[in-house]
Amino acid sequence: MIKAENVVKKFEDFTALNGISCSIPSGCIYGMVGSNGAGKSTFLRLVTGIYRADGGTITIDGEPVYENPSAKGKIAFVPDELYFLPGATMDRMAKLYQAIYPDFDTARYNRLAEAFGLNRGKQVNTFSKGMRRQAATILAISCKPQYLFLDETFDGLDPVMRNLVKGLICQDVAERNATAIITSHSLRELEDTCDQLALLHKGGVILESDIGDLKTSLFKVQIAFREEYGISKFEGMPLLHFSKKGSVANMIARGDREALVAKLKAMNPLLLDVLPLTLEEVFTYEMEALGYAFHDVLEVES
Amino acid sequence: MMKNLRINKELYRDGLRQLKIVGIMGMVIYCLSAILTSVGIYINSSYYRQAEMMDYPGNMGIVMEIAPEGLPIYEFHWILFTAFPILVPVMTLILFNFLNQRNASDFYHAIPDTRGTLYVSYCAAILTWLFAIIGVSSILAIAGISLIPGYFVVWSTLPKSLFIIIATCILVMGGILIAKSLTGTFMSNLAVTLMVLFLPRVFITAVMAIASDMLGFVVWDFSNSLMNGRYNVLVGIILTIFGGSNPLGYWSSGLYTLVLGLIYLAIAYVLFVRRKSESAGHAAISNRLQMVFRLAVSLAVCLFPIYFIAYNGTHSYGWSDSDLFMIVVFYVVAVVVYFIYELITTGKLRQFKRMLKGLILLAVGNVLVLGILWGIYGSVVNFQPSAEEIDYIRMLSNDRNYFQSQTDEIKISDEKVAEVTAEALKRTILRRTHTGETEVVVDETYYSKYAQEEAQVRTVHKEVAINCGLKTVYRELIYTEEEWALVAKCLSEMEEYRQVYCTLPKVSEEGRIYSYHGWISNEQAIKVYEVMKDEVHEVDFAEWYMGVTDFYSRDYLDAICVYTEIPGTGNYRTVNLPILDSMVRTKECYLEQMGVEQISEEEKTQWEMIRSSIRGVDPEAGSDKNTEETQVNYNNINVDIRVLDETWEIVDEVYFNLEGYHDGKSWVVNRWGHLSDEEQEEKLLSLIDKLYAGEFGRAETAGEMLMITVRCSYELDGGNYVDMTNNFCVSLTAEVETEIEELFGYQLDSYLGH
Repeated sequence: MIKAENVVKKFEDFTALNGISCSIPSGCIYGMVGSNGAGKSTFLRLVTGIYRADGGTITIDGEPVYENPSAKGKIAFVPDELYFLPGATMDRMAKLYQAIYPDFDTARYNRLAEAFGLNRGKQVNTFSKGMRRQAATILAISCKPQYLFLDETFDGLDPVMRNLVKGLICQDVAERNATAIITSHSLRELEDTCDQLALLHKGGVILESDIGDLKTSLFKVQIAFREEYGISKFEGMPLLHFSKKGSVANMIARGDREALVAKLKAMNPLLLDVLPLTLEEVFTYEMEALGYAFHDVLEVES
Repeated sequence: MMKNLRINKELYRDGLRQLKIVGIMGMVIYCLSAILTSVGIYINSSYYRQAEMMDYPGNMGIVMEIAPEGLPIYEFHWILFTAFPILVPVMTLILFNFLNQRNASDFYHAIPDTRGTLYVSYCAAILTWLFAIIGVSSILAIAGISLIPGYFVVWSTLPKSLFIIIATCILVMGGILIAKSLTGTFMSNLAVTLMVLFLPRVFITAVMAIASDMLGFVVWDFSNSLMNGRYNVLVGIILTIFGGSNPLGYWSSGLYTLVLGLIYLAIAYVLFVRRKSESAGHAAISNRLQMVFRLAVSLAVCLFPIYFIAYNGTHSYGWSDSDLFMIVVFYVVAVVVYFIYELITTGKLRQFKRMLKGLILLAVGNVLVLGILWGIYGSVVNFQPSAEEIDYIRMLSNDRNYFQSQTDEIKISDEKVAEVTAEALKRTILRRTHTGETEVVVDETYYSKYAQEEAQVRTVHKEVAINCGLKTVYRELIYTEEEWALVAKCLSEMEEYRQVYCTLPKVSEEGRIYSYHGWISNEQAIKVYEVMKDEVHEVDFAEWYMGVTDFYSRDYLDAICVYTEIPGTGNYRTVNLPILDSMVRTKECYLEQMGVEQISEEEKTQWEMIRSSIRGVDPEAGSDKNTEETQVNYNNINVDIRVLDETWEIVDEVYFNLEGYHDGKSWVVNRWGHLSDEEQEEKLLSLIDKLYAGEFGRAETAGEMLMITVRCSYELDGGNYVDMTNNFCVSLTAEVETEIEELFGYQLDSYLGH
């Protein structure tokens, strides 16, 4: 389990993380979203022991990470800016990983390199951006880490490779009870992979929740009545959002879906439709509820 | 932190792998150089071996044998000296290059080991390659030289040279790693490396130089202190260009450099462990540190104007326009350097306003340095105790010689000595603070009190230690000769002093005795010395003491130089013992020895060869008229003639120098002295002929005489060299007098009073 409490990180005068707290349980895929400069990469570098926190604590399985080989031995990190030794081939990099990571699985590396169809004898720096990311991911996954940190991992990967990487991550989580922490700008990318999601903004966690709960906790209701009505008609109901065009009203509600529908049916509406929300919509309305304007916070892929 | 001082074998191996290309290239180049140097030496030696059985011109049949030649490592494996300026920097920059790239830095800081272990493992990898390259190439070089006949390895210098090279490599590595831990770009790496390696010494040397110039009368003995630049081999090598002693000759330099290198490595370790990964790509790990670097570089430039200000401010010359101009120029340069440093290391002047504020700190730094210098100056100059305040003084010798080592602890509490010393101190301070060392007097007070006195009175400069209770200061004082005679008289009454100065050193096997002027042989000098040892007890002590302690500013017939151990130090130095006028027996023995010198048959033969060679060449003819066999490649004949009167005072001396070379066109003869034409030249050669033939009578031990020294340095056809020196002591008979008069071109009578 990864636990961060009131973590602060400053770069000279700039505060990148301002008292961030979260806990990531073992055996899950944890997604982090946020705009540029939200602090996602900084958080990952703190959790992987690259940076030292200026305040607060970060532990992995109860151990501090910074300068702790035992905790760092459980970690593999694929950063947003990849590093390969100058002029190194994949095999040379595999040797380096083998030297550094005690659990590096050469057989797995061979299998994955074969599966991804990468030329292991060619200099990695001559690879395309996507191929370099594939190479880095293969090397990291071959370390068989307990905690796998992936920063903007799907950036530059084609859809086939994305699915392959997602599949590998899911496989590790399922088979070895590993934990994967993935950051992305794209909610859609994480929607079908992650178990938990956290939204970071300006150095703080705004929202952290189980993805299933998030999706089911909110739902959209379209409703219409013969008579004129307003939001007061629904007083006492757990609404996050209400808008009306003509006689049709759109509402975002939270809580027990069946009970609410039963209540609404009892009001004899002309139209009653309950629709599921996308993750983006869930985040939008949750943010609204917290007082954040969604468009300021997220860069949603169209 | 210490628990992280371990090597991770895998990281170590990876370090070796990363350095594989540089390591193998280094190994090949160093080994190739070792082999090729040996081959080159072999080719040269073959050339000389062919000349082994060569005849001199004129078929004299003399065989030259080439003695086996010992080669120190810096001659046969010179490339080792590129290890610290090239090999180590390249390897260190490559292996620790990740500190300059953000992604690489993150990668290495994410690995499951401590930063300390990473540092130690990679340092070990660099040192492994270094030792391998030095070791293997040295073995090859030694083997190569051992196989060449006529050459051998000077084993005695080998461990010292290797130790010094390795120590310097470690120092350089430590300096680079400190710089890399504090900075994050290549240019800042480079700039800060130079700062770390050189700037401390630059500051120390500059401040020492400024202080020495400001306070010329203070005895600064840095020769054996760590302040001496030679201790730091890297700095010492550069200082040799400016006349510093070669640090490669001292174990102590290597040891100091090694210790400094290890300290640097330890500092670099701490900095490396504490370094933030995010510093990669930045000129310095913090803005404040970047400012410190800028200020340090600029302050180094400011030392020049500080020197002008400090020196002019403490002497009464006044400020000349050129001084003021130089001060302004150097300060402008310092400010330019301040901005250029930022531009070079960061590529931009990002925080111009903040940088401008930093200039205030630069000004404060200047004021601080000047304040410290003036503080020291004021404290030294104001220390002028009266005779009553002086508890005792100790006499030190300017050259730390044999006697001084035994007397510098003897306390002199005599009131008269204290009185003249107090007066000498006042005089010295007044003189040095007003005129420096050599300038003429400009101050009225000084002029009225001392200038005329000094203009008429001979002075003696002596180093003394002055004790006033708890405080002891070391000064070089200006005594008048009268004062110094008084001091010497006081000392002559001190048994301890008498005993030390009248007990001349015994000479061990390592020691040596020779004549100061070289007019008598070493064997003859020993005989003279034996008489001197006895007679020294009979002469006036004050005269003897002044002669020994003020040797260089007095004239003597000659002196006996004894190269002997300075008691209790294990160091050998030369002590010059003058043959005083009052040493009648010693003087007599000396002249007897001069009169008995014999010229060997071999020397006579050599002169014949030189003579025949000179005759074979027509100085006026072009090269076409001089055949290959008769042309002389290089020659030099010096003849020094000294005329001694009845009291053996040198009343006249003249030097002749015949120098010739073949420039491919003509044979040129240069003359110096009074030779004006070929006729005179021939007369001089005839004189030498007669000297070697023994035609002049040897000098008597009394009466006028000529002391003639002939030095021949000659390269004969075929590359053979003749190099010989002979002294002749000739009675000044009427025949000789005539001959010499013709040569000199003036009457000897005017000198000798005939």
